[in-house]
Amino acid sequence: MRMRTPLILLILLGTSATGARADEAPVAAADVAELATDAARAWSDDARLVYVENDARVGVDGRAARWGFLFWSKTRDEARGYSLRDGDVVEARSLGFDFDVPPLTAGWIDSDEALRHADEAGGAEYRELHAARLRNMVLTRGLLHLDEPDRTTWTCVYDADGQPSLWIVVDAASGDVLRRWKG
Amino acid sequence: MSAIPVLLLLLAASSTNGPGETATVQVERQELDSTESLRFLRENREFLRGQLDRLRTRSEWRTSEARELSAHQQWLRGLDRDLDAARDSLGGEGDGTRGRDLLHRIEALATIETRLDHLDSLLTAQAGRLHAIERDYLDRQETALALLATGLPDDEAVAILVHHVDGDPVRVALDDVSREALRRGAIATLLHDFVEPRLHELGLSVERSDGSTHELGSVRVRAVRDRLTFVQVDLESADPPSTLKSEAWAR
Repeated sequence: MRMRTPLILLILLGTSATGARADEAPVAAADVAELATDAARAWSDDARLVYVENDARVGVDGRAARWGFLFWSKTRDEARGYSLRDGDVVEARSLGFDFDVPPLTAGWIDSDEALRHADEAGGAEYRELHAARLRNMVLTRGLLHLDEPDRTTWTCVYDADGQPSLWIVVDAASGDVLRRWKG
Repeated sequence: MSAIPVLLLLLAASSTNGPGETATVQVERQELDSTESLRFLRENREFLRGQLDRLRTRSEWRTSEARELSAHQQWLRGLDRDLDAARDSLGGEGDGTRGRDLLHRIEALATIETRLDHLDSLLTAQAGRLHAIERDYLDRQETALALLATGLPDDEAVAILVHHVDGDPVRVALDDVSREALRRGAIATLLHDFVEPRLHELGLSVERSDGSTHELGSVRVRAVRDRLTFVQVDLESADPPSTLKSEAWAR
């Protein structure tokens, strides 16, 4: 019984710190991409980053407490996702379905910069007019901008009650807004 | 996760396990599992895979614009990296053969791509020409009527008068050359003008050198909208005065 009290205190401290970090220390996607890549390379030498999305709510500054990274290994013929929070890999598991998409090009702009461009292109106005929130930020290559399939793009998806979602596609190399639509 | 469930969980863990257990790890895992990673991808799995299928089949991959060419080159470079990875990981003579096959396929694809680009450029140029011709044609489209005549109805004729039922008459003078040509079977244009797209009735008469006129007959023709309608009339068929023998067509 004497051991329980210090154990409980220890856990309370840990839980409190974890919650605080999740809420108070959001990061941009690129801040943790290197760690995700290292983890993926440990899984497979030929792992390539093919997809990124926020695993936690993205703030107006384009930062989130948790980001998900998806890697594809040709030799393993498999996709594996890594979820990172607070500088740690908190989840790693196979995707469970075929998703052999083109690898992301290097040098993509970070989520905070991409969101700034999307907001300037109507995202901020949509958010203000409809009390909308940013639901997702997704980094892909070609999938959401078929006209130029080689471009790596950030896609920002804004949601509002009673309104069609606003999708804004931003070139992840230049920051140019390539496409906008509602649906 | 709130502190209460954490406490309960840890109390339970500590009561069943020894004091040295690392219960903090258990708490951490339960909290993380509550949020699924890559949720958007999983929720939109079919849509994104559909996009991927479209990406692989879209003809835009083969257009000849500079950016598309660059995309194609990078795509080929990706295939080349695939080849290197295959060699590194597999090795052996059999794998080397497979690598060469892939290289040959890449070369073949590049050749096909070049041909497609060339065809694309030809098609683009052709489309441009057709568009220009079409635009020119459409711009020039008007409803018009051309009245053609054969035969000389009177050796003393100095002019043919064309009477439009609801318009001013048109006098077409005949000189010696014209008269001789008509006599020998030539065709003369008596009228070529923009008209309304409707049925027209034209009366024709001949004017002699002494100033007298006599009626030759009439012809009815429907002018086709936005087309040039020709009507060819035989002036020698005007005996007695009646509806003249004619033939009409539109272009």
